[in-house]
Amino acid sequence: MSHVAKIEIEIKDLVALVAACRRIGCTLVQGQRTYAWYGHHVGDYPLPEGFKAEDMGHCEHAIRVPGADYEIGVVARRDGKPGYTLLWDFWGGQLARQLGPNGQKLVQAYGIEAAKSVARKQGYAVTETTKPNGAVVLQLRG
Amino acid sequence: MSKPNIEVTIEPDGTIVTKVIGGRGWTCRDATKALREALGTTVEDKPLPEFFQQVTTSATIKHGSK
Repeated sequence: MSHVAKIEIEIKDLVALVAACRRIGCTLVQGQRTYAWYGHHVGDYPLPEGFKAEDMGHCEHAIRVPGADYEIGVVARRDGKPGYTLLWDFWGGQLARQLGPNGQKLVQAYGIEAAKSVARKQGYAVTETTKPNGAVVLQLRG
Repeated sequence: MSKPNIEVTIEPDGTIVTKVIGGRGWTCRDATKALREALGTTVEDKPLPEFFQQVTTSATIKHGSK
């Protein structure tokens, strides 16, 4: 082993996001243009960079989460880069209870599925194991 | 030349760590380039001691051949 890189995930691959949703029991509904949320921005938290209050509730696709009334909006990034931003209303705590703080269960699942997809396209054989702390390890063999 | 094996760890918070197994020098960084670019933004990128082994060896051979 001679090199280590640490990466912060960006959502770029919609197919991998569909697989990630399936992996954790959620459903990505392609083409659903609105996502369920409180309904209006009350101004108690800053909006994500590049978004206005009237953008909330609108999306390209939506993710339905079992046990949660609110949904997650999959929205094209507003900073000129390819890929998507995930928007959700965390009021009430239902989404956080299902997906963890900051939706990290969904983000991890996306990372797993996206990494497997890229690796297979590059010709690697992939095996997956899960550590006691919940981290998932992919062994890529060339 | 065969590709080096890679270990990819996806932490519960979604952070990803890639490690190249058995590769040396700049080929290691090349091996994970497509993976890193596809997954997001690289926030830390560091060689381990073995990274420099090939460079050191090459320098020794060159010196010895004079």
